[in-house]
Amino acid sequence: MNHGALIFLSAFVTIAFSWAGLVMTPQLQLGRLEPVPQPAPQPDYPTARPGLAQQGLQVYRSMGCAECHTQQVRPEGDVERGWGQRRTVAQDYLADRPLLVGSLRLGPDLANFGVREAGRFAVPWKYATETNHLEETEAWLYRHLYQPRGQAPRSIMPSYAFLFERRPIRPGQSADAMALRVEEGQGGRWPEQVVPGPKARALVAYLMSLRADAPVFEAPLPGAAEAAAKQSATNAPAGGTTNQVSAPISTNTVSP
Amino acid sequence: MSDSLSTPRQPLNPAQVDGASRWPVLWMLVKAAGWLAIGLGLSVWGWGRLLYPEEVGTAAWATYGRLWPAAQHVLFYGFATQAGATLGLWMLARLSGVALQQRWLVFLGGILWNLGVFLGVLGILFGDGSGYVLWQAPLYGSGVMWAGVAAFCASAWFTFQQRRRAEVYPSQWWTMAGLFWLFWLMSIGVVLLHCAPPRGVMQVVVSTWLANNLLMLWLTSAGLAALFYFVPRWSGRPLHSVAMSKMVFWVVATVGTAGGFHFGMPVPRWLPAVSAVADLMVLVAVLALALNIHRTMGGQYGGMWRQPGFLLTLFGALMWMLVLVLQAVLSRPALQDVVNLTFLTAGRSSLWLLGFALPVMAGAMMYVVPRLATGQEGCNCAKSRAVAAGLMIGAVLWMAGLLWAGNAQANALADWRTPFMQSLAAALPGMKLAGLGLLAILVSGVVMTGALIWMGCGALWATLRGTVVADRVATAEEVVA
Amino acid sequence: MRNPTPAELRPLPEDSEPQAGTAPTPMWLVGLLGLLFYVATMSLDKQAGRFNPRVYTPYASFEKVEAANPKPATDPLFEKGRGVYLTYCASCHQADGLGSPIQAPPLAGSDWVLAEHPNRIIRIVLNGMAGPITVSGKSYTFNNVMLPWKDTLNDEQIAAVLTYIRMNKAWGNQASPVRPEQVAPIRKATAGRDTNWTQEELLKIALGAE
Repeated sequence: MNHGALIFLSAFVTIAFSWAGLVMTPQLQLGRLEPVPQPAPQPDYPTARPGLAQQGLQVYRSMGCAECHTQQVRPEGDVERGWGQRRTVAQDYLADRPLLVGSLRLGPDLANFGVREAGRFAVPWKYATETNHLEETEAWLYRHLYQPRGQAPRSIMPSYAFLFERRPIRPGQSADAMALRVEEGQGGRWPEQVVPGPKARALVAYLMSLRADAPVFEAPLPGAAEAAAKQSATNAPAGGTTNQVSAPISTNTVSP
Repeated sequence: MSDSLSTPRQPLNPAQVDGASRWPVLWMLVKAAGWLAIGLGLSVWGWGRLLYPEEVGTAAWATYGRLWPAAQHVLFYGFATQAGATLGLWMLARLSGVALQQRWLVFLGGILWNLGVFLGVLGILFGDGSGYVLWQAPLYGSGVMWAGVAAFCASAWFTFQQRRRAEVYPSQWWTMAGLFWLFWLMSIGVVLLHCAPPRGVMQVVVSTWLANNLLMLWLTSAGLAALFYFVPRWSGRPLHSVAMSKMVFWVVATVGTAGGFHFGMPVPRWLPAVSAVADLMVLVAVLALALNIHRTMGGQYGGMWRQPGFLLTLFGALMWMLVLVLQAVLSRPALQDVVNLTFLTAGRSSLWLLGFALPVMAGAMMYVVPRLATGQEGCNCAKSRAVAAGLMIGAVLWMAGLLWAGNAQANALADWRTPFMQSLAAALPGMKLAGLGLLAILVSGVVMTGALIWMGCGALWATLRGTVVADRVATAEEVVA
Repeated sequence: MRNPTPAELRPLPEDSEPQAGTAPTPMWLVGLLGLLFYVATMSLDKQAGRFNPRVYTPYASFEKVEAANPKPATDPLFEKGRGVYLTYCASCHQADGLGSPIQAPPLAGSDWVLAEHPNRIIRIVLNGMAGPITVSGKSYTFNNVMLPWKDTLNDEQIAAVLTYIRMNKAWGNQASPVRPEQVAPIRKATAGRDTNWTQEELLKIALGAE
């Protein structure tokens, strides 16, 4: 008996079957998914991320954020925690490469970070203004990256202060709007400020672009079917879904 | 390609086989031990950073997010795969009764492999990590490693083709199949995760399948090949049943490859459903292996206490079985909502590495390296016993710590009203216990590495000086290749 | 120290390799594998959602996903038509369909829109309209014209927007939808035309004719 050929065949056939069943079949099922049409006038979901956010995805990957954070909303519990309106499905991830959904939650899930309310953060906080929620969240995020334990004393997130830069404030200049700290100059030197560097800005742009709440067939919003059934019996405007999709926000929200 | 048994030649005796395979195997095992020490050091450092995060002032490469993936890469590829492949080649040559063929290929493979691991770890530490579990090294690292694996596979094939014994022993087919699977898996990783990634969630599908099979197909093959060889060798009794070994092979190869997907992942539910049944059916392989080992030993476990390497190998086998039972329990659909995304599931690859691969490979190296370097078998001295104890206790503490932390996390996260930070606080005591285990493994691993490197260098020095090392290991010229 | 008994373990001598025994696999192990295979098929029946790629947890089957989704209350073209209307038409005919005295006549309650056959309004969308127009009894004269849309909108978009204005309950309109197959022959028939329609020309075309 030709053992060599037999061993080779056994190894080949078994892995080929596994490959066919668990990689090729999902590829045939999911490989040609297209973005999901949305109620007009919104574009199909998902759109590609803006350029700075795409760079931010590379920063996310490079820093190993996926070692502690996930980007997958599960059907039980995550929605009630405020981590999303619905579970995430294949269509939510069409725009990203590499795709890092994570496998361990030592930090909160980030799939809908761009639309998370301050009160639903792991350590809840309150907005100071009525109208500047996006800017406030970005500022919170910069502070969190610089020194996580400033916002969340029991967090074990590393400090990413190396993503920030120290710059002098020349005479006649004022501090940057995004400056985290301003230190007085000592011994006659100019005062210095700590501002986000380019990688920090990209990372924050990426995180603020994260949202997975557009309605899709595979994950209808809870209660959507009943609400639609009630709607068509009345004289209210006809047609469409009743999912409360908020107006699209600009995804490039990094301040100049 | 027909077998070479048409003109049967006498199988070489072990001394002659060892004489031929001595330098490639010794060199690579010493390198593997070196990577072990580095990997354990990075692990301890990274884990320490996780438990005690620094204030402002850390460098980018010294954060947990880079140290831990780098450590996993070094432990899996630098140590476990290199040691596994090398031991596999050594066993293949011994069991085939022929000198290791195309040794230049093994040398070339070793150079490429270590270069790839080195480039990979630097790449991860300085920001090029891919983010995929067990496939973190960037293309310039993993591509070079892949070329090295091709060389190993070629040498294995030639060696098996030239075999001089009619019977084929299980370790031979585990090694051959394992190397073939490793090559296929690394090809998938290089092509589908680096060069031409598929769109969307298929990247998650490919990387999950890859990580699962690197453990279930490759690491299992490497470990079980060593197990099936060394348990009979150390116990002095024949392996109880080839048929049961074949059953383990077929169950792992057909069913074990389907695991790894969890409910809750953003993939259609049939994938985790298939994984759940696969994880359950693999338990038949666990039973078959347990029965085989038990009957090989004849139920007599007294002798293993005299041989630290033997103890380590059996401990590794036990851990393999425990980890698979744990996987089967955790993959029940009813439990998945609670246990996923905690240490219970995320600790899988480290449990395989530190609980199964490390003890088994270490135990095997305690036999092979002294044998090749000095011609003697491993000693039953205090140092070996201490190393074995440290590795075993460390592995138990690591597993216990992760289970404790994971269980605490799962309980806290099960109710959505519990604040998230509470799950973190609940997990910390278990993580600290695990850290103690990691320290124990580090110390033992470093001691073992030192001893093995010392032996290897001693052998090299003696050969350079022209001293005959031992008359039990033939020199290469004496081998009729 | 006593002599070790034969039953105790001693390593193999150096010049031999491990041997493999030939004990058979116990039957109960094979039976267990069969049993687990059976359990596996039962589990897959329940958990795998019939291998449909559109079924995610917590839904057990495709039917359950369908049931949980809101049903579209009207013709699928309706939503598409809403998008087209808001993008192209609302600037003149207004989002509420009431038109404006200087720009466009109302569509809400318009007898042109609610006519039994849409062939006249298909022509209006394709080639535009100019001149005075009487809508539901009221006369309108505008200084500007309605532009032709035949080069901007395809058949499906025209059918969609006409479906939208004809079926819009909020405006009080309740007429039949328009299908792209109704637009195509009219587009073909008027392919050579490059001037706007006037009311007289349109009223000469019988309702329901091509």
